[in-house]
Amino acid sequence: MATTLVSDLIGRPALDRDGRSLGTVQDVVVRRTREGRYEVVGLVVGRHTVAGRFGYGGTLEPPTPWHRVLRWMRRHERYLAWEDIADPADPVRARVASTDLRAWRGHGHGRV
Amino acid sequence: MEEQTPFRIGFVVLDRQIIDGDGRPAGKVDDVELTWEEGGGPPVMSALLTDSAALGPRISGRAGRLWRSAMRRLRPSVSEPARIAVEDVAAFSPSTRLTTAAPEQANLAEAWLRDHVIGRIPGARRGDDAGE
Repeated sequence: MATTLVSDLIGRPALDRDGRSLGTVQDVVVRRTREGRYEVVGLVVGRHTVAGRFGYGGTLEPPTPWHRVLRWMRRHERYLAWEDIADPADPVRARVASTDLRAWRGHGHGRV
Repeated sequence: MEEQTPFRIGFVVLDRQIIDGDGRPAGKVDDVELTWEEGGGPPVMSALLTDSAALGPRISGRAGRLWRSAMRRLRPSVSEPARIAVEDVAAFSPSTRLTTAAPEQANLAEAWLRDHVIGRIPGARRGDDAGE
């Protein structure tokens, strides 16, 4: 049974199936399963984490003007589903093309 | 138990306050351990790491090495950060609430500061809260 730390994953370079850069791993997305486990469902990849430094996200919604600014700052972020990852080692290699990835929008839940 | 909406560890877990089963603050989540279970499949969250020693790996370059070195010198008997099993977490939002008492190791930095710095300030021990 292998273990790793989220801090080891964050910052790893990520490449698409053609070797094009997707930036680096910015975050890890998990979901609580019916069995009560917190399972990794994907990674957020992008160029930088500046927008994350403001502390907004998850349950903490930013004020209205900041909502648009933060969304613009995160426009480069892409969601890479775990099943689309060929190898999570360093560098992370995806089995899909960069153009197949969609922007991170709270996994379809509208959050920045 | 229903499946929940996916969430980002960086938004919801990392650097969030931990409240233990007695309702007392027990530090912040400094890192998260992921485990690949036998039989394949995606990794699962297995533990939260807290206390200042867990910050070292999150700081890159020379600053991170300096931090780890300082931690080893300050507390040579404790080299690993406190580990809290994910099974002991009741909820992650808005703070990380545990069903159990916090591990003793989680408050080592605060205890050291209380004994060596705050406690030596004249009048520090006259307060209502003995810091226990």
